[in-house]
Amino acid sequence: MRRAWLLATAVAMISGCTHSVHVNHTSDYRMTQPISAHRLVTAKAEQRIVLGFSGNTDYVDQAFSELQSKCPDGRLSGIQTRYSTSHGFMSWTNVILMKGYCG
Amino acid sequence: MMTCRTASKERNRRMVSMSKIFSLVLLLGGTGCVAMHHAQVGEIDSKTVLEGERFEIKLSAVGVDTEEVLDGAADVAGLAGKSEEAQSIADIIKLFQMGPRTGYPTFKDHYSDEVIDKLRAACPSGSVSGLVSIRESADYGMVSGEIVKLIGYCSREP
Amino acid sequence: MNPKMPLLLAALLMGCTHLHSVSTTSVPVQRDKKVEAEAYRFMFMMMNFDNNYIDGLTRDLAKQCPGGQVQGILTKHEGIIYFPLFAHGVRVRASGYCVSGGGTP
Repeated sequence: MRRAWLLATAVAMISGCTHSVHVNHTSDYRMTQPISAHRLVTAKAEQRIVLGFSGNTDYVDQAFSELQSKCPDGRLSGIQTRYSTSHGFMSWTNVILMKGYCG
Repeated sequence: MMTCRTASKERNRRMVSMSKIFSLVLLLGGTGCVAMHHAQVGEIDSKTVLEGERFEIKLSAVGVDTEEVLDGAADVAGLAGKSEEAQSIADIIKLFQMGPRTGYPTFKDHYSDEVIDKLRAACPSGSVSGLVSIRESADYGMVSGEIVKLIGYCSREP
Repeated sequence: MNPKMPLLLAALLMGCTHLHSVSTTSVPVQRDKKVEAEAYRFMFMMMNFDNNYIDGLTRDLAKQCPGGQVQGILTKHEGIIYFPLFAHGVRVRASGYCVSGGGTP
């Protein structure tokens, strides 16, 4: 009994919070100047899903809009998009992280 | 001088050694399994791709097949005669790790965020083309390497 | 009939939408005209024999931007579960900005 509990505790400790990166995409680079002349902007959006019920993927559009709002008068280039999921108790959180160069 | 019996023993010994080596080679060869989950090809500027410098960025994290680990732990605990309890504990822990997966789960989700910085170091001019974004896994049984790879071509001319 | 049944059915038929993949292209300075297009396929028993429904996506976007360039494209590949195993859908949504003229602003 004690061994079973010890093992379970050890497994629980190493199990921890787990994540899964599904996609990491980099867009085209349209630059007339070196990268150092551009400003790095970041945007992040999340969607919490319980028991798998989710009606839309609007959080993606949210992140994209937020990224664009940080570069209103410039061109956004070299956009890196990371789509990942953070696992949880009977639920999970989908995360979209976007980074790009504004210039 | 070798008698027939000694020669036959020697032959058998050599065959056993060969089969051991063959099994080892098969085992080593069969344990690495690479799976491609995603691949996207970007815009291509022929001049940059054909005349420019190729670069490759690879970032990875260790993935663990937590379900296998939990089931294995439950089996080991089962040897002590407490298989039902151990399996229940394993099932409860699995409830804490629900969600979609690509490859095996990792313990951090930010391991691939540096791609943009590494690309900047690889090609400071920003004249990049032919980008291929790849998400792949290298499977080693219960653990894996969860890899984000970016291949591209850099033109040194602005 | 159980009074909770219609609610349960409605919840199930709502359709669980999940994201499979996402990608973007460079976003232009000119962002006043937004264009969108969508490709959708319903799958019964998860049977799908081709992906040709995607082919018209770029033409649909181009038709909304005659004489210009569609840039800043956000592409989302979604999976929809209406009823597990029996009724699924796949949708690819692309939205971008129509940039008039031939140059790259």
